[in-house]
Amino acid sequence: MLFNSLDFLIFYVVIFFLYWAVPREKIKLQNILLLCGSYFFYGWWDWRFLSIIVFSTVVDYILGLQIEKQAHRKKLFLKISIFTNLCLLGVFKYFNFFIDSWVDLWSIFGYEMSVSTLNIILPVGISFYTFQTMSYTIDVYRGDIKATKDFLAFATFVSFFPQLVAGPIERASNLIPQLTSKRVWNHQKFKDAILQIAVGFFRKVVVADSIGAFIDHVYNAPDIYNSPTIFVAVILYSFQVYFDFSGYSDIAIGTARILGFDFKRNFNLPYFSSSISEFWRRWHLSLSRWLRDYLYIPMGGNRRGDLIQYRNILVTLLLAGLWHGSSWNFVIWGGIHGLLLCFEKRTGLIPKNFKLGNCIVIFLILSLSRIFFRSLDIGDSFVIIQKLVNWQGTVVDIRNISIFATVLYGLLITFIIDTFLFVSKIDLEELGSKIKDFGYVALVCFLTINIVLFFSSSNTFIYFQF
Amino acid sequence: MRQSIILTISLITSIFLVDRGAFVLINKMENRVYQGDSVGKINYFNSIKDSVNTLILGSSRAAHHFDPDFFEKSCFNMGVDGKKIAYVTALVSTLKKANQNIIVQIDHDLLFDSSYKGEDALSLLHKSFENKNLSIFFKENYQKQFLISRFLKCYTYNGKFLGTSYRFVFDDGKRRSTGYEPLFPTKSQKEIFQKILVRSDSSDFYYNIKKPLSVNKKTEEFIDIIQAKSKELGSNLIFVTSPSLKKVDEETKVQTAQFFKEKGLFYLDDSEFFKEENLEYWKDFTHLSEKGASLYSKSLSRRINNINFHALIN
Repeated sequence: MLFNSLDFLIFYVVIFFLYWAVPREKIKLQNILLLCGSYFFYGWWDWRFLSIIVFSTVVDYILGLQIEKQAHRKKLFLKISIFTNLCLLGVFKYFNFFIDSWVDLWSIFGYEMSVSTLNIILPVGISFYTFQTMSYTIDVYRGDIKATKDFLAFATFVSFFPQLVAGPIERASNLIPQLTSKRVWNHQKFKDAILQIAVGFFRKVVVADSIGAFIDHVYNAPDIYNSPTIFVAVILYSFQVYFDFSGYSDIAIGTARILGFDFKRNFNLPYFSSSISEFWRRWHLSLSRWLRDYLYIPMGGNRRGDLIQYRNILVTLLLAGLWHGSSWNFVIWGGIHGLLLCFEKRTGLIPKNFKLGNCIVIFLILSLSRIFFRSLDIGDSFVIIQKLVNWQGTVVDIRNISIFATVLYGLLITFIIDTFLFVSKIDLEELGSKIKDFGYVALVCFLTINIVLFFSSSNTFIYFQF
Repeated sequence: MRQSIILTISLITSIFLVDRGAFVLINKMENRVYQGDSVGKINYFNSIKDSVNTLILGSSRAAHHFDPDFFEKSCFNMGVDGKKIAYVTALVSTLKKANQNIIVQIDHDLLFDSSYKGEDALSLLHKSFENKNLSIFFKENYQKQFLISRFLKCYTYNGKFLGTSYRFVFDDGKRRSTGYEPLFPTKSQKEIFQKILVRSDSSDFYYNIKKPLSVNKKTEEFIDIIQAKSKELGSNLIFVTSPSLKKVDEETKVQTAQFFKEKGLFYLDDSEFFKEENLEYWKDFTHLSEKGASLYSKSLSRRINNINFHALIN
């Protein structure tokens, strides 16, 4: 079930009324409703994959309790938990990638192997919920949180529908306490949530989807387009991926908030970053923090000298790339970011005095690195790079002027919103309650009518494939 | 919670009112626009549809392939980019004039495409407020979208607002048109097509149609509606597959012809009209250049003039 569908609207309205109709002290009943709703939401895609979520939930629930109960064997239980989750990812997400890479490796040395791959469908959201359950057992192991005995709350934490398929990757320390305590209706939060959902929908269905309709044909056959067209597609893709994913996160955070839950923010105006490290402190925060806390710091972080730190950065970013998808393109993309971060730590990538100039330079670097992120394969990535280096042509092949005009209009509106948030230092998560009622109603009306007039239908969100 | 309920009611009421206001405004602008594919062409079509003798309907392949000047003086080409049989059906449902010639461009792959749901017709939803027949058509075939459009009227102008505003401001008042949109490929377009041809293999020249062949029920329903309406008005209905560099296999061609024959409909398969591969006739795999379209229109008009529809019907 997609957020941008009528099915979801009906589903959410039903859940909303049932959920708040339950007496506030009946927390378990509310959680049962959320759990059933979440499983229904997920099963809408493919009910068979529910078994993986249930399996992951049961295993990590039991292991969490055992880690706490049997302190002397807690390392073993942690290893089982990590192994189980990585196996799920390995089988469902990376199996064919590893097989293909193995065959390709041998073919370099002249050995042609014939190994069959399996026709495995990637279960939606598997990268998100496996990381979420892993963080739970690691936190219990470290003693950062207590293992929960409330299976219902734990199962709801794993499968809570707003964040189930594309994050934010919530921590147990944030969500489980909220699931075990009484939920209170808060008008200010309701206002914040409605505005954030409206902004999220605008970002997704107006801006990101229109850009997708405009640039997909370029990325599908880059060899036939001239340099200006490719350059515009490369730049626009940076906006598409940002507005697609941040739009999803906004809707997820907003819908959860209306049900009384506070998620951590996932994006903090990343294109206002004036360095690569700042970008990673603003982009997909729940993943960045996960990698920092469970990978980068345990490997030694920056505490063991420069060389070890560079190694840690590279390993973390390479795995961040691989997390995004089972393709060497993503690994290369992660590697580029790792190298850029190391280079920046060592020399300072660009002078620090020119804030606006830095933002533009960093944005261009990010856009170029995303060539590998978006291209269908490595060959296409190099075709694009070659076209940008050997510049040919002067006119951008716009194809559909109406869609291009919508893209420009959508970018203008989102630029105004993001610039206002950046300058006023207000978080989008709190914007609604900071605006007076008349202005608030006018703003939500404006966004809604614009969504209705300019939405472009797309079947999915980019991050669903991860 | 009381505050939140009041706010929600205020929001819903405001959205409802702003939507109505915006709709009236856009509608007023839109009704003055007679140019452009998304809005203007349908307005022009509505103004002449019940006076012309021949109508050509279909997708961009209709718009770019049939030059009305070769047919007769009173002919209009209502081909529109991206529109298919559902859109054509919606247009036909609005016709009133008797004894017209209706030429519908249809492709083999559409007939057997199981994924086709007819959503192309939805771009005419804004006209359902003005035309009762169209309103009934949408109510019967697109209940969900019809309901949404009754609450949020601006929904019917989705994707049309900027084009309408532009045309409204820059419309030069020119209203006489045949609807035909000849293609004159630019140098860069020719280069792009050459590159595509170079890297194409034989599969790119064939439609990938799923076997065993099964006619899409929705498409068949639409064709039935068109046939019934034509019969009601006593119009001459012809389905044509215009030339294409992309081919279908013999089985598909035979089954398509058989389908129309069984329905008692006149069908011309001109997909392989051009025997020689002269690239001057083409803009891309499925669209003729002006040069190709002229040659084709000349031939088709001659053949259509020789058809005795009364003999066919009887």
